[in-house]
Amino acid sequence: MRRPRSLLGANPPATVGVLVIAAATLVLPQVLSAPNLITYVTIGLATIVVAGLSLLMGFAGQVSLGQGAFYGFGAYSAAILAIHGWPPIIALVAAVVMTAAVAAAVGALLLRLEGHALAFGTLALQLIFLSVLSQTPSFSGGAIGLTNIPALTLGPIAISGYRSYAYFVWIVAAAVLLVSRNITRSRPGRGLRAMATSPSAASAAGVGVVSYKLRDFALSAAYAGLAGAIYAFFLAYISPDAFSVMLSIEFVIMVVVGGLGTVSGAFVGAAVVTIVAQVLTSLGTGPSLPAQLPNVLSEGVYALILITLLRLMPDGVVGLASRLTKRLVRAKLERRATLRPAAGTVTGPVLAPATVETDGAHAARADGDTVPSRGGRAGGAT
Amino acid sequence: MLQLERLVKTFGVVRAVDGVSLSVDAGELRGLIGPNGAGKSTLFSLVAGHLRPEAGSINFEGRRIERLRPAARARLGIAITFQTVHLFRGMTTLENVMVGAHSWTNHEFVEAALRLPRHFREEPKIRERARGAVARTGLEPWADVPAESLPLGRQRALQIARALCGNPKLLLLDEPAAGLRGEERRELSELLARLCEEGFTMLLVEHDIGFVSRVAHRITVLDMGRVIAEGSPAEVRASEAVIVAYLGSVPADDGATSR
Repeated sequence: MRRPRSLLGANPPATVGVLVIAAATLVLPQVLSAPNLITYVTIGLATIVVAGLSLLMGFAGQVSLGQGAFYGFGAYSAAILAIHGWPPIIALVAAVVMTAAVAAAVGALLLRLEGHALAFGTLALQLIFLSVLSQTPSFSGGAIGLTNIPALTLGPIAISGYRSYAYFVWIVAAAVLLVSRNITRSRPGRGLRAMATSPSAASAAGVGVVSYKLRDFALSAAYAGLAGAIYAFFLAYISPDAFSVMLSIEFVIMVVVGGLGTVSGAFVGAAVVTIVAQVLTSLGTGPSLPAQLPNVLSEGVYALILITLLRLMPDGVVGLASRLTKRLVRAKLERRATLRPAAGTVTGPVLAPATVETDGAHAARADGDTVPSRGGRAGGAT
Repeated sequence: MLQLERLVKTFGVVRAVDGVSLSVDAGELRGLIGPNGAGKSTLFSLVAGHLRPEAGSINFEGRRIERLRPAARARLGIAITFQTVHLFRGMTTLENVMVGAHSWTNHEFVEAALRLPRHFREEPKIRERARGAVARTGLEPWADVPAESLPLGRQRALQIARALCGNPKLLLLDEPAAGLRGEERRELSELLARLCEEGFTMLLVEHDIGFVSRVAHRITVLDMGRVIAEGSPAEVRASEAVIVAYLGSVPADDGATSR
């Protein structure tokens, strides 16, 4: 089943899409104003976190309300190491490794829980993280936070200023999305996807479900830790306020908006929610308005988004788009199939030559059945 | 190849499996039948690893496996198909089958993420083996469609393809014919016969005595968690204990009357 290779690779629309996005990421930092550049960097950081959380929610089928804690853990680890004289880039890498290690250790216990219990367990993790911060002022700066975080340098290149961060963050985000894509399209990725709909069949096929869940959890934490570490260098100042429970909830909403388990969904979700949050903040901030208004407003709107999405498009914006394209393609195929008898299109003798006729009938049935049957047939899985 | 010795599994006060011993030779297609509630499915789950016995042992190729997780048993060469079809939704038929290759491949997250050599060594083998399994089970026309859109008979074939992709030595089939119509049933028994010729060892749990009689070499009959008969299909069907326990008053003339 080898497809002919064109200049644009195996999948021309995807290649064009990647080229357009690459061009946009090259040009945008040059044209955006300073406040917009901050938003742009924020979206990039959120994309990294959401890509990881999406691997966890979409594949292991687990919700983490503690991603903000891993984000914060990465930020604090990088900041503390860099302040203590570690070369910033080493501090950044160490922060990612430490976050993954902590997640693996905590996950070994926490992942005995499932569903809502796990969500609350991770939420507890976030609260513990925040209270540890407030109890260790000498180390973490307490409520005041850490200042004087050194600038990030990559050998001779110093990354400073919004514009260079705009490039740096998106290079990292692209690398992270590539890693996600590589994982989903390979043995471990298939194992994860299998686990999401039928853990018992996955384990019977040889997928070590427990260890896969743990690795997935650690990986998603590593993504969050990476984004957090970059965030610390970007702002050069971090405090506990930046890692509130609300941040974790925002990440979950981004995943839901973008669509579970899709690589492009991470970016869409991060972008949409970040921009909505900015708009709400600017709407809610004014000379005569109460100071809490932006928070109240965004909480209300998040709740509304979450409920609406889960009711109307459970697989997110990207899922909705791909469902629509699939429906169009299928309509086209069906129109073609009606012009030709189905039995003739079935390839090869199946179990016995005499069965080809029946198989043709099945093929037609299978086509007709694809639209509504989301696991509806045969009792489905689990 | 597979020896069960005095296996016991209780649920509350019910002894679902009550001291079952049974031995399956390499290359054998063994049928396991019994009326509803006889303990067939429990016994199946004990061998597959989804349940653990309270007493007794399971030996597979000379190794004690009764405490191993299902994934570890898969790695030893035991593959299963489920009574209620378990598909991986959102994945194509071919991808579903490829998952079966987990038991004999090893590349992990880091190797996949960074596209290290072992990923490139294993992926083509997985794909090739999966395509082979898809072809053997007659699923080629459906290879690239979402698995959940297949008709029931094909979904059952997919479960077998997924099991075959695991390169198993022992195939455990839990009521693979349930819900299939005449034609699909015949295709399934032909497939099982062919796998048998290729040397696969199979344990076939079935409710339908007619179907088992056509394909199995030997049949073990369970009732109330105990083995009440064992022998060739003809011997088993002639056994008075079996007729009383399993068929009640229905005469055992041929498969057509059993369903």
